[in-house]
Amino acid sequence: MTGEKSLQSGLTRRSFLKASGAAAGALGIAGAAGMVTAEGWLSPTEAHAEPEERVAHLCHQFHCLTGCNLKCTIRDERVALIEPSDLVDEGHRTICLRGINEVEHIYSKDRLQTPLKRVGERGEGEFVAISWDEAIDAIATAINDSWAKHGKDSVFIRKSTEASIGFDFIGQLLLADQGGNWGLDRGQPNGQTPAFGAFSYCPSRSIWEFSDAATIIEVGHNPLESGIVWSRALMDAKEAGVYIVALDPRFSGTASKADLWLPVHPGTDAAVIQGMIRAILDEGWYDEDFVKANTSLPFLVDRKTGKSYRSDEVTCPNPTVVTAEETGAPYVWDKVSDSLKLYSEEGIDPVLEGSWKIDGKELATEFTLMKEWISDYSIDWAAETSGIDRQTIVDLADRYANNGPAIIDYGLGGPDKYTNADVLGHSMSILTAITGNYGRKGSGFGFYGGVGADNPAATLNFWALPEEYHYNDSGMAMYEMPYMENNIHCALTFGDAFTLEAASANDTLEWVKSLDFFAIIDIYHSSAVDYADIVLPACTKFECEEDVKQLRDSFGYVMLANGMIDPLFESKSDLQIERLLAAKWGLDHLIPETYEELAKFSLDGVDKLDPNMRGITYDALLKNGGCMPVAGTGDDWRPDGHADQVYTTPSTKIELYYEYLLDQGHQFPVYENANEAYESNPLKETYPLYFMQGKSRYRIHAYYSSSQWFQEDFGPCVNIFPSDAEARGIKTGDDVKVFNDRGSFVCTALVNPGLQPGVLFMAETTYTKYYKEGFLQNVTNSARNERCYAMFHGPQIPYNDTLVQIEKA
Amino acid sequence: MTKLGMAINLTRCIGCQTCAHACKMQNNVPTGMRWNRVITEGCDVPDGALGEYPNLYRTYLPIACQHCENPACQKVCPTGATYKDDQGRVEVDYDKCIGCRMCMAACPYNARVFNWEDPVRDPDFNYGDKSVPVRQKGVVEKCTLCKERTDRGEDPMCVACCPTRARVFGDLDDPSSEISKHLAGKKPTQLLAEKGTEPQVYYYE
Repeated sequence: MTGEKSLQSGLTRRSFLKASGAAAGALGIAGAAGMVTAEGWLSPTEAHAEPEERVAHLCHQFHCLTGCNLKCTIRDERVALIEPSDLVDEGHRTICLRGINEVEHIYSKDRLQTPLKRVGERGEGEFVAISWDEAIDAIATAINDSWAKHGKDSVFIRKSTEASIGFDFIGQLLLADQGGNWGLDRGQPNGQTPAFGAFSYCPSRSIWEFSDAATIIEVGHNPLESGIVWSRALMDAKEAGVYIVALDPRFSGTASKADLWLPVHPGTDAAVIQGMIRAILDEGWYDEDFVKANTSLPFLVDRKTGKSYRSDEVTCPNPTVVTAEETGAPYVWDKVSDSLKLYSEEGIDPVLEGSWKIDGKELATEFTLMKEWISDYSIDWAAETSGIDRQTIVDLADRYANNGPAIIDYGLGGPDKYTNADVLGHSMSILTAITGNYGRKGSGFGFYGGVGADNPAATLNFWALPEEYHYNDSGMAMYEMPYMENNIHCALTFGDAFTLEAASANDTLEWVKSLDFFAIIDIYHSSAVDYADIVLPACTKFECEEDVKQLRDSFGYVMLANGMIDPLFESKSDLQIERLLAAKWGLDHLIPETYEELAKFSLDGVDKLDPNMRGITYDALLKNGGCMPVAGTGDDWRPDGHADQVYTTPSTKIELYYEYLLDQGHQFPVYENANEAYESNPLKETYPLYFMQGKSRYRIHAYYSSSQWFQEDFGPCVNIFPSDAEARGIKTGDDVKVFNDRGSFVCTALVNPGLQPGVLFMAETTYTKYYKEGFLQNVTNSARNERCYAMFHGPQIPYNDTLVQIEKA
Repeated sequence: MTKLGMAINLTRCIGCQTCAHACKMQNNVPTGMRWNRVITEGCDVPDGALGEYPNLYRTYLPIACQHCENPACQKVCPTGATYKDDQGRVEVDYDKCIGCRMCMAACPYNARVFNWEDPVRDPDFNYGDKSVPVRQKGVVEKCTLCKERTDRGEDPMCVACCPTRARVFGDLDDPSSEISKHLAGKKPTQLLAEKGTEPQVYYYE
């Protein structure tokens, strides 16, 4: 068919290029070509002597937490070319392969084209086309029936597609349950939030300060394949000579650019961090002045009760982060007066270490208790647990503590997806605080996937619904619903919530099958579509019934997308779908008629409320490529982030002793094994391999599964280390079955030495149809850590906390 | 003289394949073909690794036409379809190409692809830059250094889109050009320099 047989065949700069092989080709989806051509948008280009072109803009892509401003050339009513905009600042003149590939993906063969009604069994994927009227009627009838039969609290509505960001009406209008806590991406933040304040997982320093660091430790973060355009900051740092360390069981793209790769055993990152803390405390490498001035470690604790010794009269400036309760000001022992003083008194010099008997109580500093806690963890234990040798841990601790400013940049995947992620978050908080690596140039800690959380927000008018309309959550998370009794009988999801936002798909889908009714609104034929009774086709963000689409406030910028082309096939925009649904209950008058109306309303008069919004009007946005900065923002808008060392914790210090976890014994981060993925787990006899998933440059979650351009490079494949493959007779390109007690799936094997032995790696899920059998979510772990119910972000879904076996299919 | 070329910083190249897809889109490259590829050097699988665990390493290598000063492809072309233009680029006159594929055999970089059948495109229309000529069955095609863009004063699409800014385009004969300044003081290498083709694409780390 083509002159090019292979994209990858053992080539080097010296010896190459004539060789042919089929390694990469074999991984593509054979036979996936030959798209279903739809007549609606296909008229021959040759029909026009001189093609008509126009240019439109939009910002892309919410899931990368970025704002690539895309300049799109529309030719003969088709999106024909996408490139970085030339109307915006350098920071937004970005694109990656995902933005480019939309030229194909918008038109890909998995687009849902018409409303559908299920005719086979749930899961079989047998549908017939129906009209919009029939489909909307069916949904309204099902919701009314559910209300009549099971009560008002029996309807579940969740919105999860990017196209829906910016408004959220229908779930509130129908008083639906949206499934509570999401359980995604907040495992490490659970352990960080009490220390540094709510939402501190987004650092208050800019990612462009990476070049000012001496050391950057990437903890399970792989920006080179996830938020790709952010990797520019890391490459700038590399060129500037910053020492980069990657903690990752896999030789990720980021690990390959690092000075040091630490192939930690899956789920044991906290052991490495605790080993570093031990080394720093043993060697006295901590920053005593910083610790005394800016952390809670001098605060006194009653040894017997484990409670902080606090004033009854004087309260802390802020309520507690997790429970929002007021709390008394803690005491310290003052060296100057040799007496007990409130921590906030002027002129005191708090003693860092020691114990005192006062009022019959035995009081010790948090620092003393921390040393006692860490004494349970030797560096040899850390090495044994994590697989990283003792000297490497000590050397890294030395470098991190003693060699200039250092940054810990963690990812929202990887180690976040184990039940012990909070232990890691808390441990990293301690490591950061005792070395003073916060609030000074080139230092920091958190998820550097974008600009700081407190980046100046745009002031926009909020389209409020009358107060009687609101979500009506039962308090149960969606991922708990398959396991706990609940009253949900009717579900409507915008996007594939059920197979993406829950693990152990057999459990989840069994529950979905038990519902009276399930309707999905989606752009593509995603995995959950086959389980729906009614399917509604939404359009992509490039399409709209009007010339404008979404208005967004994103990281200090206001973004207004153009509606570029009419919705393809019979698809509709999310707003019009919500309006059709709302009309069934006579509620459509409560929501905007058009995106233009919503955008104009949102921007009307905002400059009078907020001088930073001056000049940001509907017309100005359209003229400026749909992307304008809020005044005072920018790439490094806050060069002094937390230089004042004032935190939104009760005491305004970095608080490292978690009294609120006293009942659990986790005032300090007591190490615990992950739920399933740990070396000594007896289950390893049956399922000896760790199963890890992560980002691929070819996906955002399951999005882009349908892209044929990507399918030329990439399909569902599991990476396996050569010795593990050899032991099982597996070769690259073989069909393999991955399984455990929760389920199984069949995909292609890719024998890759860029991994740790004993670990399987697979990019995040892909629509089920692209697998030979099942899909990866069939094996993932849905365990919930009880301790995390007390935490700010609640239990998280431990997708990576999974053991499996693999064999030739 | 003008001698257009490119410099690629392999330290900054993260193997993201953005340039490969940018090129495919801009130049309306049909299904199953690429003018520009990013390989994982020395590996049988994409994103593989070399070395012995845990001492691994990996280099990504973007490869397209090297726009050689002494192009092997041009020498063997019987019709003059492959030519060196006045900007120092190696170009193909599709009207003159008879599909003999001698150039493909001669090119040591495997940079050329051939339309064995009527080209198939997905999506099923001519995407990309409207000024890029549509190629027919039976002709050879390859990277043009985005002739249509650069003649308008724009960077090639792979340069404009590179997320890490790993690519620089410009006139190698002009000492004041960005590319010349970029390469000054570095030790850039050329692919298969020993073949004497004198590529105008330079790589450095």
